Amino acid sequence: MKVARSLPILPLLVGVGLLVASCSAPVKRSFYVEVINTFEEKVPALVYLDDEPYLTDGSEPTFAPARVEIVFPPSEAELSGFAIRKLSVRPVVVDEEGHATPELEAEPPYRERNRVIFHNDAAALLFIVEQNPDFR
Amino acid sequence: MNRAPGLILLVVCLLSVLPGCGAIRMVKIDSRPTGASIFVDGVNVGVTPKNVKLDYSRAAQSRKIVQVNHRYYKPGFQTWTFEEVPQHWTIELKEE
Repeated sequence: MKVARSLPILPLLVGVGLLVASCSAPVKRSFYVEVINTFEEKVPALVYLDDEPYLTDGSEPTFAPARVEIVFPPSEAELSGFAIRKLSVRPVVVDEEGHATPELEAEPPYRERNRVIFHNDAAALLFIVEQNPDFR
Repeated sequence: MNRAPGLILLVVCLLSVLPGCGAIRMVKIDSRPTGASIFVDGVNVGVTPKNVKLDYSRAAQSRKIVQVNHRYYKPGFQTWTFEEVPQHWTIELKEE
């Protein structure tokens, strides 16, 4: 009888347990990063995470469109309970075959865009970049 | 036997497990000039002016990212939590 009476408490205990567990472990999310211009054409761009180039498993820079994995450590400073991350896209010039040219330090054809990313943002991250008037 | 406390607990549990159900907000999105594409979380949902449905019920998502795009104009960007969604939002787009 005692077991039967305590049954309704079980979901609550499980819920609290899951909540505690979810708040103490980092959250890993996968996002699809896409960059378009104001004409809604795809734009190749380097992806940066917290101002550092986001590298592939082979330690190569990542060009959008790309899927990126981002870890959000727990953070008491944030209302959400998890750290926020900064994601940036820096458009690059590509050759006829679509490969980025080596002059990455040159003025990009479109302006760089930054965005703060939360652990529970949507999985599709679209960046709309505007033309860079300084690009020749 | 009084089952009320257990029933209340069960209801509380269900409410805690299903926090976002029915979490829909409507907003009328407009722009100057009109005819701009509207993207919600990266998905094109139409052209301004338009009544847009924002669904907060999936994956405990805390905010929606709304972008407005028009050729030759700087794109507009806005984020809203469920509580922040206005009834009507108009953005003045500036030339690129």
